[in-house]
Amino acid sequence: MSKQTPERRDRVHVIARDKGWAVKREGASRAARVHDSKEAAVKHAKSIPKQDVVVHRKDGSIQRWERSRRSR
Amino acid sequence: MSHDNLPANHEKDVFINCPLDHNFTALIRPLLFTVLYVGCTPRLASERFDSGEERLRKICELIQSSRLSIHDISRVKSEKKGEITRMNMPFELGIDFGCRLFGGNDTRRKVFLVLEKEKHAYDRALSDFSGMDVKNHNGNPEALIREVRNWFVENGVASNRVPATKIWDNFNEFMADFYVQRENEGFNTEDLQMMPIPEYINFAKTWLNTGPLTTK
Repeated sequence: MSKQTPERRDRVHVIARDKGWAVKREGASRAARVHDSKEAAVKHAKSIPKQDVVVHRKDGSIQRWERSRRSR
Repeated sequence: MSHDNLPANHEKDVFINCPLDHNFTALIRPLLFTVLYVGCTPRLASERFDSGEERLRKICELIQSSRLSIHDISRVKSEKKGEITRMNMPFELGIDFGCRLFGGNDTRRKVFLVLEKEKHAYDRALSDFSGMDVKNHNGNPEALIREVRNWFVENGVASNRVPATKIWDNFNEFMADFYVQRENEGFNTEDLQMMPIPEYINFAKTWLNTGPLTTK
């Protein structure tokens, strides 16, 4: 994980749902989409340009944080 | 305790009775976040540490001064062979129940949420409690947030305009800031996992009051 704090609006989260995995831009009122698998959700999140991708575990903690080129 | 002796924030104080060990971290963090999210104050035996203070007396004081209580009795069932069942949670639930029944006019207004992991697991371990409305969360933090949020709404403590999913999403966003800021301050993964509960509560309270982190 980088030591620099990114702007909040530049993050997209992959979050566990009761049924599937949601892709949600930070600050958005709802998820863009809920996928059946975590892999599909991560792929979708990574396709969104200029966004860090924060992949969460089922308990909400951080599994990994993938930086977009812009925030490096 | 007479009504006059009750603290001013009694109405929104929530006594939290749940396991406080590392294995419960994944559930206690979203639980505390939800309590803070709806504007209440979590009260736990671990909120202050004083070797000279008798633990049971402190617990009774917290129970008596909190109108709301959340009891998680998931640990009445052992997870593996040879594991000793934890009796603290049902014991403290019993004290709270007694406080409500015998504590006078004010404590009769106490409201409880009792949680367990699997539906009806408590029936066999705590059969005196049969027939009570106990909710289960299956060890899932999102389900736990939903049950806690619904209970606050049903009891007029929180607005029904905020869905449980929004609280869960906010908790995930909060966790991102929690890890980034703490790592920036020199905390490692173990520090974060083992962080004392009062420290976590203060961080969550600040985050909810001031909003998420932005670039400095």
